[in-house]
Amino acid sequence: MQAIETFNLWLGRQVGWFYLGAVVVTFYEVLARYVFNAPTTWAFEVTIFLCASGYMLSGANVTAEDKHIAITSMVEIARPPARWWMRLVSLVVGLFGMAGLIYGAWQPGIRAFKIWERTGSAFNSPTPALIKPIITIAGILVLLQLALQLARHLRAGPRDPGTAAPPPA
Amino acid sequence: MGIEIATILIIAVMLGFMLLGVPLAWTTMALAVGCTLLWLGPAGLPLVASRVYGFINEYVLVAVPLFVFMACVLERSGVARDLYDAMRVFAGRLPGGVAVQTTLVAIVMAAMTGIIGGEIVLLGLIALPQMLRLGYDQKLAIGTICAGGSLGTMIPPSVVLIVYGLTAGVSIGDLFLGGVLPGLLLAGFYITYIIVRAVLNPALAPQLPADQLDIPLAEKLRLLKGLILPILIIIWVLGSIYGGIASVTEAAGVGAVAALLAAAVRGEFSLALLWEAMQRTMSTVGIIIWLTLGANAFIGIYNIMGGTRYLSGAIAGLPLEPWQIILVMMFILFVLGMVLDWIGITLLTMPIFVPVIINLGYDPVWFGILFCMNMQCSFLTPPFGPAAFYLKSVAPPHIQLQTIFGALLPFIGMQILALAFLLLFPQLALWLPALARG
Repeated sequence: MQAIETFNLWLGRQVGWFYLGAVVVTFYEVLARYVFNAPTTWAFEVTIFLCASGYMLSGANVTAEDKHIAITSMVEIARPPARWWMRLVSLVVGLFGMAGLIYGAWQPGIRAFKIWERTGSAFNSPTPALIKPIITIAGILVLLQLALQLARHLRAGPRDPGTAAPPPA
Repeated sequence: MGIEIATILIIAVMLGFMLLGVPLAWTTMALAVGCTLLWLGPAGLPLVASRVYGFINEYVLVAVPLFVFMACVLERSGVARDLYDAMRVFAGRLPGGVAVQTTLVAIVMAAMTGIIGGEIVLLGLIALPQMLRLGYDQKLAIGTICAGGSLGTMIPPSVVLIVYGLTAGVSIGDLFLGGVLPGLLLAGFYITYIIVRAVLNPALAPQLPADQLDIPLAEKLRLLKGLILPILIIIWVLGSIYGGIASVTEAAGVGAVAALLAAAVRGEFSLALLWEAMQRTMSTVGIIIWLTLGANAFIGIYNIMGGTRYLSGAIAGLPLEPWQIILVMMFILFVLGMVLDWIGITLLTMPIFVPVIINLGYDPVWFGILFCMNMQCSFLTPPFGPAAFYLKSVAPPHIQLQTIFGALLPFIGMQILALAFLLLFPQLALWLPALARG
């Protein structure tokens, strides 16, 4: 179980490269258009692919770091046992949302990958065939991360002072 | 179940979860899933996934990670510190000099970056210790930094306006231009306020020691060099948008490269700086986007349930004059701004408000700027005021969150005043975009 968190944190760190790639590709496209006078057909779709996968794959990292934006004013004034219950609700709500997303993304993801769905543009890249399954995979990683946190939370129990809520992001 | 009751239930569940501290990303995603299950059954869930897919495929959205990356590089480099020193040349002798200087830095930083957070942290690290050391009134110092630092999303480029443009289907180039004058007006209010307070009670803002005020010309020129890079970057980014060279997204990419070049020119570029900027970008963007995924999916489902039309109709059907409807909307946004994050507010309310605005014959660019100004308040208003949290993270430990929120009250007042100006004089927002269109 612990390995999931290690992997999620690692994967998130690699997402930095996706965004750096997007910077480089976008800059190259502007150069290609104005300096080399030869706009590319691929920059647009490659940038979207890099960023879309980046957004999705960073989700589990943000979850592992407990950085998702929440309104913590009530949590802060609550006593530790109440806090434990509040965090339990958070985790369960998150698991429910993710389970729904995965359920919905499952079929479209597999189908897009199987038929190797393309964009149909001049470049006609297979980005839908990749991004759609990535949504499913990212959802599963977040779900596993939340399950891990839930397991830890249940083990700690409401009397454990360590269940205090994380500070606001 | 009718849509009226469903709406009330949805709001109740949302409020309940929010108060319990459930992250907004989970609250909105769970609501999207829950509504789909109840309204359409499990067969409807692919809709949630397709809303996510459609949203992350937006090219304009790419500007968000690019602008965030640019800001992260700039904040790690010494550009801001030099800018701060350069502004002393202009503001040093004014009453409340260091606070005015801080606001000027905030304006220039705002024109380079489109997010808040980093800027407030940076000013909290550079300007706050100096003001406290000089014996500035703690509240004046804190308010200046939080309010000034929040200008990042008012003066273009602005991530708030990008997401608004995406949601409302409005040209982001027009929105950026529209934000310039209102942003400067707001900054002007801050500066005037600081000077007036300092004149009325000089003890609030002691002058710099004489040796730092009498700057020899050579030294002045050396300090002013700190302005060159920021100005070049601003011209580079905004120039490439309005020169018709690049789209907003491309300008963000070009700006990110410019920020890296600026760090290189200053001899500060290193792999460590690059890596750190990449990591902060990943984290910041992950937080922003995951919140939007759920909110965007939810509003999509709510629209299918007929909720968007119901609420738009309810607002449009209020027995009120059009301008009163705008006031009601501003009030709703202000209240939401106290408890919700700006991204959540944009995605949840704009699909409902913007059609009403257009039906009433108002310009959605103007409304976008009004909205953006309103979100300035949301950064400062308790209990959920991100600007206060950012400053708290770097302020000396004796400065309590309550102190910070207390210090922000007059600045929130000025934001509301600026909002009123913008309501009364829509030309403040519309003049520049019209001028650019020719």
